[in-house]
Amino acid sequence: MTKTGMHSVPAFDVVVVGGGHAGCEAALAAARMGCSTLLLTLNLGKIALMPCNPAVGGIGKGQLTREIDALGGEQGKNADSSFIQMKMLNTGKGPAVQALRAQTDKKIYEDNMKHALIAEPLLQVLEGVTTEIIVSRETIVGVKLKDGSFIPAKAVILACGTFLRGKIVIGDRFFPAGRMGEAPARELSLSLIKAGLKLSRFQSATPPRVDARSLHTDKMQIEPGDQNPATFSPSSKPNRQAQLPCYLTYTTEKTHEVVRSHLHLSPIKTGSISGAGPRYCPSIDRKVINFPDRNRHPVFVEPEGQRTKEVYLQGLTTSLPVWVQEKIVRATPGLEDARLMRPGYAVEYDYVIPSQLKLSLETKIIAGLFLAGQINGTSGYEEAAAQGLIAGINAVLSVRGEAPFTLKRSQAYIGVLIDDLVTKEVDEPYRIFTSRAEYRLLLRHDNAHARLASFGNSLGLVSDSAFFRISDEQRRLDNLISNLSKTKVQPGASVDRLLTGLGTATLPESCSAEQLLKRPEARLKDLLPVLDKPITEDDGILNRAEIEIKYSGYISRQLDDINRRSSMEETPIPANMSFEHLRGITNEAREKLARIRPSNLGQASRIAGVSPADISVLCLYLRSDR
Amino acid sequence: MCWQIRISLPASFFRRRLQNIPLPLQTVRGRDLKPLDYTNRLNYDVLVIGGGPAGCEASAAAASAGATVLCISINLDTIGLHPGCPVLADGIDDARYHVLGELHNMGGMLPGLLRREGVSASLSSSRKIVIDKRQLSLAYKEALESGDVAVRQGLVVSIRPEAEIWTAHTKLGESFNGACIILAVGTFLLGLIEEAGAFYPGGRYGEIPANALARRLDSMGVKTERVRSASFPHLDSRSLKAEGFGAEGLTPDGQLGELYGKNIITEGNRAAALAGLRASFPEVWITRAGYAIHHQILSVNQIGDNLEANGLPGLFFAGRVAGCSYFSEAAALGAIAGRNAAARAGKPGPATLTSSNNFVSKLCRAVANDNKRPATVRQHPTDIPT
Repeated sequence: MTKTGMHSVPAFDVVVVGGGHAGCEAALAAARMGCSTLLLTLNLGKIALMPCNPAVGGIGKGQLTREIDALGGEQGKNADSSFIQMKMLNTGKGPAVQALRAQTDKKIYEDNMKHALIAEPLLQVLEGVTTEIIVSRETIVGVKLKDGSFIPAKAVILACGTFLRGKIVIGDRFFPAGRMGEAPARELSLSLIKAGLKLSRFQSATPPRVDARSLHTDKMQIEPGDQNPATFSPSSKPNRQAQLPCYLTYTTEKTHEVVRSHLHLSPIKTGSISGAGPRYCPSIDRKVINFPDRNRHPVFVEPEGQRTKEVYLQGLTTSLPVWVQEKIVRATPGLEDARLMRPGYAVEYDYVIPSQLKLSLETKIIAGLFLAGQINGTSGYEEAAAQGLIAGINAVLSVRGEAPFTLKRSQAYIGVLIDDLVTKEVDEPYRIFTSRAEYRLLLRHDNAHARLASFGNSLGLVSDSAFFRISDEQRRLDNLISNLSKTKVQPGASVDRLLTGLGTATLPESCSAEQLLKRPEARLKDLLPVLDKPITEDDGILNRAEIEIKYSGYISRQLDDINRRSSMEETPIPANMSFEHLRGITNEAREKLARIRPSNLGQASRIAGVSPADISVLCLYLRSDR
Repeated sequence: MCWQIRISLPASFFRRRLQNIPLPLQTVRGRDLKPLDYTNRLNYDVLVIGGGPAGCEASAAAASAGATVLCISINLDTIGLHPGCPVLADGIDDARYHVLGELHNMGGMLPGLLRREGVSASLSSSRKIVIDKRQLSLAYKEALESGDVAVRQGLVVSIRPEAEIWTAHTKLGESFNGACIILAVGTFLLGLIEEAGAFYPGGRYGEIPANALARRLDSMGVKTERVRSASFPHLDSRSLKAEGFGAEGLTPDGQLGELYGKNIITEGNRAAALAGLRASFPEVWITRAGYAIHHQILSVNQIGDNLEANGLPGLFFAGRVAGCSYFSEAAALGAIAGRNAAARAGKPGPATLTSSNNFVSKLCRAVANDNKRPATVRQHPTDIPT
């Protein structure tokens, strides 16, 4: 018993509340870095559940998953061993936007994550309802469960997903739930508010699931996986098992007419739901309203697992009444006889306004309290997992009394994600896109491990052998690029034939392979036979060399830009600086700076409402202050 | 000898009546799709409410008799989930072992699933059957969805007989018709979780209860009574390796390397319970606390030994809610109810010859007529039913 009279469980270094995608990454990272860790969850049967799309990765998200793997997180490896379809997206576009997407078997994904948890000797799990965070002198001391148990902790990570005062809304019906069929967390929000955190409401929706046996797949376009599936993690063995196909169909005017004629029943219209929904993951109702000129919208029909008949309808997210959902589905080609297995629904939930967090994901007002995942206003398993990993790392560093680990926008999509969250205010669930990353040409799928594995290794999350393999690859890449600049291609008839065949001009005089490769039509694999000196390398390294060479001009321009801005990024703003007495800045800037408390000038410049003129004033003030 | 099916009118009577009634709901007859050719019907021969072992077996049994079946469950992720003791049968002297054998003879799903890889361990000398609860749940879900059964997530809030048809209404406003309904709702009726002295609603830990349906049954005159079912704590198996914790009372749970602490009774909340256990075993860790669930089950004499409700033709009960005590018993009752409901709906299926003294018949008579609630066929129950 503690002095306060609460029954106490033995203390842990790190306590993670929530067993979803953020919670699992956080708990694994903390345990792997050597801290005694406890994962608390409402239901041990729902670890790493995917309540929505049965997929990991995609445009932007795939980059996050790669980076999570590069830093030693679990999501990428899990997707590699649980996928039922793997596809590299945007192969027709530039490498800056190419991303890997895995359609996963949900149950295998869940089981894999559970096995990963149990494999960590320092990680313990407990099923229970967390009702309060316990704070003493602006520092977290632990959490309290519904049954009165107190769990002392040096750091706490909240990763509660959509469970905080969750409310499910379908049409005009609503009821409390964290997810369909699961009770919500009612008390924890009140504890957060009492501790001084500001909450708001968001909503997220999911489409109906239909029975695979009731589909007319002959009326749909088949979408197979890649012939040679790639992996998120270089340490994953290539999985050659048969992939399940997905199907593609499109809504028609008939479908849209059904939606339009029942729009008055949509919770958005009736007001049953008040939280803002994700703009970039809109429901079919929203799509029909916002894009009246589009006569069709794609619907991807995706199996949820090898052993289940449930199929996910990507593109038909809705929270209209169930009988309307049945009509909408049946008005879509291929789905005329589709039998619903689960209705689509929307869930409205509390989130913590993320500008209250530091870049380390620690709250500004309570030391040792970290937040990760949907609780911060994001949407997506990858966004959640990335935050969970960073929060887990920083929880350990804070326990050790070391400086936090943060990533810059120029280093990783994870850096972009967290900087956006804490600096810009989210007015709808945040989802990562390639367009959010101004340095996306540098932050690619192919170079994620080269960029980040060293951090993973020094943090203790990436083994020396794995890191060695990655560094070795980098060395081979550098050698290859240097060789290509020295190796020449001699002009000749066969060379000209090859070049004309590729659709490019003939070669008037000898030039380096690097030079020739800069032509957009030239592919390195095609040029190998005509090189002066023979070169053999793995496909992966050839690919990376080709990207680096082709885009070297753009890449160096982005690097210059980063260098120019680095002085701003590295100009710190004191944590306790008062903006009250700063003359010459607008009131809006003053208010925003005081609220968000940017840690450097670069971050300050990204705050909405802070103009370049305000930055100049701030800059002068900081310089004179030194 | 065949099952005694107590009906006052021949099955053909019902068939004719069903054809003549103008159906209030639109029935969309889709194109015939094998194996399921009733894709859009809101009308079924048999509606099964509940996706536990009783609900799964009932659905499969009715479907194999040729009935069209819809199985509605609150949560499609917990199909066939057993929350209690993973020992399904304690050996050849355990009546449950024979119940499983008879279920196999009836064509039930569970015995076949137990033979799948990873689902159960059966020590051949002692014939003790221990399951991996997670793997069995996944196997049940796969088998249910592969059979000729329509499966749907939903919370049934009311059932209503209307001129020889039963209608089930869900919380989301859906309605489904069936010639028969089988209620296999387990521990969900007015379910209340009791944990360290505190009470809150739940059908199982972390799940919502079925309260409206319970009130509806009450208003229909179906008598139920309150029972308390215990669920014992789960311990982390890693924490016990060093201890040499006795195997007595602990059984591997399968998922997450947990051990089920049968008959391990702890006092107070999680912290107190842990402290109590650690007095004897300093390194032990409790992953899931023990809790009790208070719920309604049928009182005696509410159903016949064909599991049909007295005075409410077409309404059947199966599983825990009917008043049995164990997972294997629930499965067996489900199979019986499924067959009988299909027959009531005009799809009798092939007859199965069983002796009237067999364990399953005994079980049916026990849940129907035994004053002791909940009932069981176990001769010498050595523990509290879980």
